Amino acid sequence: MKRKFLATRNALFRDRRLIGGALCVLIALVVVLVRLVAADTLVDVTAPFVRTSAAVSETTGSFFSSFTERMALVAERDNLAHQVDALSARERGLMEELADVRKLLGDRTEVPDALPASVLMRPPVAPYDTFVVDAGSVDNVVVGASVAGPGGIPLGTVSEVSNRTARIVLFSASGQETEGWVGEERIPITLVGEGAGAFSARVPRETPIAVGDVLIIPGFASTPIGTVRKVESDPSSPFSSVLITPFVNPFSITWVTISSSGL
Amino acid sequence: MIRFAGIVLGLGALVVLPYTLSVLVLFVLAFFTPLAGVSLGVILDALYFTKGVASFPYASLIGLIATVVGFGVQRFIHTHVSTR
Repeated sequence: MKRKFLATRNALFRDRRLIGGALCVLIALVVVLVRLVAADTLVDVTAPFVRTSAAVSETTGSFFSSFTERMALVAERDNLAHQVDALSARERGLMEELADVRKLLGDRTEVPDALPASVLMRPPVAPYDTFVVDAGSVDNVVVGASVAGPGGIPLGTVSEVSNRTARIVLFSASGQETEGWVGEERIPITLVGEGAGAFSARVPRETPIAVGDVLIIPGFASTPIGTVRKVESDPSSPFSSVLITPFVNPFSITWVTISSSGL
Repeated sequence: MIRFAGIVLGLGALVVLPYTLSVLVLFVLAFFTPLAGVSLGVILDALYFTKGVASFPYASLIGLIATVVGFGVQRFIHTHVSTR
């Protein structure tokens, strides 16, 4: 019987596909094995690429912005805006702390010891709202320790610790629920993470929450995590949706502080 | 050779590009090498997934879907395009 195609050539193509697939599976198995046995090694291998990528994007960004004065001014404005945001958040935190101290004179107000750590991996490269930082069990990082960003703004908690690295789950991780308070009356509220640094909450419609109210969560010396951006009410529903603007953007955080003890 | 270069680029994309683009790369690679889809998904989860962040490692699931789609596309091409 006459064959319509060259079997050898076809088999060769199929082999190449199989080799490619087998290589992929092999690499995946090695990566998973390394992750389970020595998570630090995986981060050590990938961190230089992440750092190089960040450095390249930063360098190319500043290179192109140097062409025109306008772009340079925009960059400077953005930088100053970040500084203003950080200072504003810090000021709000201090005001909130002062208000609490005035209400609860004699309560513990000292800032806990915290360990600075560099962020190795973060969103949007990471698909989940997680950070990988360069501090681990050798630096006394423990699971459950609270993590803060610039100005002491609450970010999340440590979920996994290896020798030299730790993984942090942000409060804004999708579906993550965090108890807190909102407004001057410290109304209890449950923050629900929406991913990419965003939060929302659902409260009874009569709850006196106004746009601009700050939200605080326990364990961070009354430093606010964000402000109420919008309160959406539906007459047919007994609940209102609260949209929250966080004070920090997790995409641009390079350093965090990790408390020396768990929550 | 192009296939292997694609796999290397896919691995690089996981640590350099935003995850949305990584998923796009994963799907594109899965058309040429279907097993690359699930493999890259598993690697993505190995790199970034941690307990408490989600109930399920979604990147692996997306990779599995990409692999199934990739096999489907290859089968379609093999049946309807390659052999006339």
